[in-house]
Amino acid sequence: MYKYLTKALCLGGMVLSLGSCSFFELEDVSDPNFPDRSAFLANPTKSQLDFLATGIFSDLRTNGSGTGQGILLAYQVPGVIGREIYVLSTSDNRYVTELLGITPIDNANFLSGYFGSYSSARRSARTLADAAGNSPQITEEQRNAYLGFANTAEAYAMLVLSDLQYENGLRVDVSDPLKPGKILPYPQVVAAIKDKLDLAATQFAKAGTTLPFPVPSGFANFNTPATMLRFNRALAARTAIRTNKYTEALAAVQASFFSLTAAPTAGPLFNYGGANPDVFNSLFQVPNSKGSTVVVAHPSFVTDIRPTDTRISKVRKRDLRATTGLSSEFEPAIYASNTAPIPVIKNEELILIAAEAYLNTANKAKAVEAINVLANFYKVAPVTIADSDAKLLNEILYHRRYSLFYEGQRWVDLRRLNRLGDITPETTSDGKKTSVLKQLPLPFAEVQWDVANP
Amino acid sequence: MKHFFFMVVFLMTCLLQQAVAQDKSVSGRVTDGANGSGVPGVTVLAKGTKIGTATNADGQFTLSVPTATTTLQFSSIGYKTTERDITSTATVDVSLAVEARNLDEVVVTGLGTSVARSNSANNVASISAAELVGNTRPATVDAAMYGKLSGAVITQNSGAPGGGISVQLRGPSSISNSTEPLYIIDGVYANNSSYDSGRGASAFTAAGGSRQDGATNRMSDINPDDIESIEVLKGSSAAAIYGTRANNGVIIITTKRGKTGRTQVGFRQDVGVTTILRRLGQEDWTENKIRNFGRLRGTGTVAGEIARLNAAQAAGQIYDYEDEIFGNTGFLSNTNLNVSGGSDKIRYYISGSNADEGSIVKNLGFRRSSIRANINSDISKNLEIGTQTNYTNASNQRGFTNNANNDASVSYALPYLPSYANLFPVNGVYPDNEYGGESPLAIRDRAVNDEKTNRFIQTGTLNYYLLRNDLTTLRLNVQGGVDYTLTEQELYLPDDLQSQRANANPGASRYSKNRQLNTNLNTILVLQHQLGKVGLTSQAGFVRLSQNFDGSFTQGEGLIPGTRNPALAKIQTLGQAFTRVTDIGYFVQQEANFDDKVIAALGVRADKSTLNSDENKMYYFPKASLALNIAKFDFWTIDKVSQFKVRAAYGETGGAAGFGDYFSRLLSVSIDNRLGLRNSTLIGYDKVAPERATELEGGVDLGFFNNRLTLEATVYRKNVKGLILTRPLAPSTGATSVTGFPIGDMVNKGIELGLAVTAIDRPNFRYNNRTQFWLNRTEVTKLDVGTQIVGPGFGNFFGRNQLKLNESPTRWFGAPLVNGQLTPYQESQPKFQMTFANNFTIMKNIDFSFLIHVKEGGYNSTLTQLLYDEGGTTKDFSNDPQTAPDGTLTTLGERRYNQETGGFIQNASYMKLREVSLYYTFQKAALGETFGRALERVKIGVSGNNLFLITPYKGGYDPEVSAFGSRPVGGNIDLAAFPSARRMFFHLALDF
Repeated sequence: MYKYLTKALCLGGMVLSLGSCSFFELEDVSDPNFPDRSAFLANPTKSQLDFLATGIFSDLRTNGSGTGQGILLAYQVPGVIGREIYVLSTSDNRYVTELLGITPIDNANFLSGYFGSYSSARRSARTLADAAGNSPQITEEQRNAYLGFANTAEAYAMLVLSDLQYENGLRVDVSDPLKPGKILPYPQVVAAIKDKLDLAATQFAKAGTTLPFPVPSGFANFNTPATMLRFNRALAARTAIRTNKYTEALAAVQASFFSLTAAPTAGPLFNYGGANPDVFNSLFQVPNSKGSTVVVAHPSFVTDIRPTDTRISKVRKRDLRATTGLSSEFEPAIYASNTAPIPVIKNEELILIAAEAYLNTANKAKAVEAINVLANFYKVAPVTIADSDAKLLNEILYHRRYSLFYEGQRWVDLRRLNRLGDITPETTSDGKKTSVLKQLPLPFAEVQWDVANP
Repeated sequence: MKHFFFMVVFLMTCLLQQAVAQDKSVSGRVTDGANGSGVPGVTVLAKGTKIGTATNADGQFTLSVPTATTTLQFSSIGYKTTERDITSTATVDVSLAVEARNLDEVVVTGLGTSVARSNSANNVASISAAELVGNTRPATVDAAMYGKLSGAVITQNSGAPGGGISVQLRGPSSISNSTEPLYIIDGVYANNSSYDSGRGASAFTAAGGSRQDGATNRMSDINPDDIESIEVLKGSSAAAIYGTRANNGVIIITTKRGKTGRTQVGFRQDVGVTTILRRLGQEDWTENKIRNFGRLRGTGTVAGEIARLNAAQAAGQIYDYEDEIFGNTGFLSNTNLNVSGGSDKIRYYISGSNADEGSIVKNLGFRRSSIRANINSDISKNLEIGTQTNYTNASNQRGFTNNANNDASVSYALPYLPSYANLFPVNGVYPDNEYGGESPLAIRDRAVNDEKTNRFIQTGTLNYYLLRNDLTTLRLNVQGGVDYTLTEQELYLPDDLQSQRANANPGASRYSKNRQLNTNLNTILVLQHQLGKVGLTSQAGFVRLSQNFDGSFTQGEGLIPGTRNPALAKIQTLGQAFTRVTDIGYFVQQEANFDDKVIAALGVRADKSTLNSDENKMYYFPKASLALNIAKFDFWTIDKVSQFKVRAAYGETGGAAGFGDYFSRLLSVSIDNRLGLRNSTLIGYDKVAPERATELEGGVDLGFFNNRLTLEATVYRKNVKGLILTRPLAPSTGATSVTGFPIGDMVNKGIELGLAVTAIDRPNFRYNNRTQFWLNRTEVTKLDVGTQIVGPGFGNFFGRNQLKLNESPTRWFGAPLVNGQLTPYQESQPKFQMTFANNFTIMKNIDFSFLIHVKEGGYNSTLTQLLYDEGGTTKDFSNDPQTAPDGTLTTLGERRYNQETGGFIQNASYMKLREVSLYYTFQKAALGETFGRALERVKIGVSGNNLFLITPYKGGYDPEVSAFGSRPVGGNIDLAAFPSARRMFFHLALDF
């Protein structure tokens, strides 16, 4: 009996020793994989704000992992619909069937991927605005600089979204994701973008002489509040011509980095460093690629370009690519490598906005001067003051088409000027008749939110 | 809690008792009542004790029992349990009567207790070793459960070597989380994860984040030959005692144990072949077809393609690429050796096995080597300890199939490849495939997608009888273990592959390491007390379990030609993810058995987990059950009805939230080598709690003619409340969803019927049939958020699942949108399933059996046929030509290419001959002098696995498919899946 008692006591002791608090109490688990968002919103340090600012510079490029390669779709979709390019894929025919209007766009498939990406970039910007607005650890000038940048960044992302969504409108008030505002119609969206840019402009004006946060190399010429303001005004100019508000556009252009003497391609750049956690220029494509998804130039790029135009170098000959009943022998050749920068907005776009604005505000001479800066640069026949307004507008559109090739502008230009009819819908070799879409559909989840929250 | 243990010690010191044992020896032979042959493996037990042995291959046994023993009990699955008085004899020969359905086998009712099937209040399914692998050789344990489990939907995700099987019991119990049941192997919470190799990364197939090739799940590491039995607690009412992880049911696997008696050696060798189960075939090309086909690739011109066709025909170079890729005959080999036996103090079972399987695609295969040692020892009369040790080394070569956005998938490139193209290598150089982004032959021969696993499962058990007398036993049961898995994956696409040359930095390799450690400790105190005619069983205990996952990879893009090392690549990417979970649970349960007439149980489990926002908040899961054995009451006089049981059970279980569901994060990015943080589109919910399933199950079990005919009928209603899913937000807010959100309720209702009959029972001919029928219906009954698309998919046009009030979450919806609503299509869950298991024993020595599995209804969303139609190579592409009014000619394939959503939702009913086998057994006597001296028994046979498939399904190779792997919804999608295979074997089994 004694033997058993000893054993039992030993065993009981063993079990009891397990009964200490750590064995039966669970400890709070913190995220072992990612930084906690709330730690950046409550009383953030300047260093934390700088992390968020750097994140926005990266996010504006919107091709980080998990963002659905936003920039790829934001450039390819208008490119295909505006008949600048085709995306010929052996593994997905929807780049053709849906974007060329053969079958309706499915609002739940990958083609809506840009929407989440640019909306996420908006929220990155708002996170900085919220954090900077709260922080007692920075000066008022610094606060204004952070806020000016955050608002400019969000406005940029909203502009990309509204270009694709157009008359579907967009939610403007999204500060509380659980209680967002209603979708506003397009004119109000454009007005909201303008307001946001104007607010940022006043914030930059009160931001002192230096930016508190580091600026990437692509924005090297925009690294003070004053120069960042010029980028802000360039976006304001682009915003103004979306609704053909020429006086407003002209004022914005003149406050931007617009210059008739600087290089047409001057301007801020999205720069790329490469592998994770940095990203690549996803618009780059290996020459003469035999891969499954290949971007080719629309055949009309080559047939419509004027013989001496040096912008022919934006495409190059390739082996014939044929899938889905379409083919082309040319491909875009804009980027030399997958770390080549992508322009955010270029001086030549501002020159052409200026030209269009001058033309529409009875300042034809200035318009002609602006157009001829590019005509001379790209070796095409100049225009004269004797040319008709209509011809000058066509000339501006020609230059916009070739100067801003594969930058998502041609489709938007034809649409805002009510000239989508300029595009002749093609018929594919398997007999499918295409059409020209006016806008992309609202994503499925966006629709369902309003159904569930009337 | 500490009071509890003081009580244990107190009880132990007060109640310990001791008896003096004196032994006597009993021996005899157990034979089959119908044909007189010896029955091996029968458990012989001194009644009321744990002293026992098992019969040898010829049915012989010898057992040493205390002199006081009066009765021996003989039990074996498939036979009626029999008792014999041994007070005045030392030799007992017993002949056992066959029973179609064994009602005396025990089924689990608590963590430390079990009850005879005839007294169970739940329909608990059991699969014995003989049923599992006795007929043929499925590669994995879950594949071996096919058609043997009513109430289960078991789906092979793809035909790729090494498994990838999803098991769903009584319908989906979750939307977002796993639908896989909890696997418990010898008391350890086993790892059944499947790990992503990263093949969908843009460097490889660019198919996106969701795994799209049905990766291997880790149950494939378990050697089916080591399994003694599998018990399946299908619903919450049976599984409540497992608490927060039991919403999908619990599968309890017990491995083999040694039995006291002579050493037994078993050797088994299976050799076989595997070939493609069903070919789709491909249509060849004619000049006319090329002229009318608008989507020409290659040269892209009619003249160019006609020239190629003519040249190929002239040279006799028209190829059957389906045969080239999937026409391989894979060699299968399975070797198993086990030794078991023991003395009265120590018992052991040791086994080693090696399974080596080829595939229907050259270069691919699956291999598993495992060793196991199960040792049980009686330290003293009242203390038994056991240890189960299992080491497995498994590997597979899966190749590249399923979706690929760069065509780096043999099954994706195949449909577009015209038979006149020549992709065969010249001097080792593979020509580019101009009809797609990659050459399938180059992928087959040069791409690497391998996985290898080293796994160690160690469990230990301790049973200590604190008190044991005629009326009362008090037992402490401690069970714990570790399951350590290291799965390493290698992906490699050489730099000169066509699809890699399209990348700026060609050549990609990725090495992943997935390390998971599960540990758990269960401590249970069980008190059994007989009070007159009432048997009482009380138990209380606790469970603590932890799961630690550490996954990492290194990836290189831009490789040095011929070099795979990612450290030398131009671009190097690292990945790292951690998961750490700890659960603690307590439980108490009280069972009462009134003379096997009324059996009742009541219990509750309380759980807390770090997966919940409030990690120390307890969640309670009660259960109650009642079974009435009406035929055992005295008033029952109908002799022909040997069993009449009505039963009802209620129970609740939980479904754990996903790791990190309550975290709100920022994500890291960098620009100019400067690190920044950006938005995460997920918002963590701050009140994450487990899903809760409440299930009511009721049934009637009938036995006729001494249980030669049994019928089990069960109905259940399982209500899942607080379904965890992401709450969808308007994406324009930059937040797409709130994670871990309780979005609503769902109900599963179903019927399970089982009919077992020993139709013929003659000395020279016996025929057993077991028919099972089951169905399940699911409906969303409450939805607190808007209708939302759930599960993966390829867009509304091809069909998606959505969560919608009063609809099934597994129903297909798709284009067109009508008033903002998707158009409904068919259901992906089957209407019903049926299995017919048939066993014939002829002339005592010949065993013939076959198992037919019928799945009626259940629709797939398939894109596979679309690929062929787009490429113009469908077998029936040119059939039924029609001329439209405008003069254009269309063919069947062309019209199908332009079809609406309904055409992609296809009936996936099937009938499969799951298993068929024929064995001949030579008993010791028949082996003659020479062999008979060493051998007890020799069994030879042939068998087949998935020999025939009958289906209306034209959408792909096999209606049983899941492109996105194991998931509750969105599982039935077919996109260029790996074709299924049939397997045929020759078997040899020797017992020494």
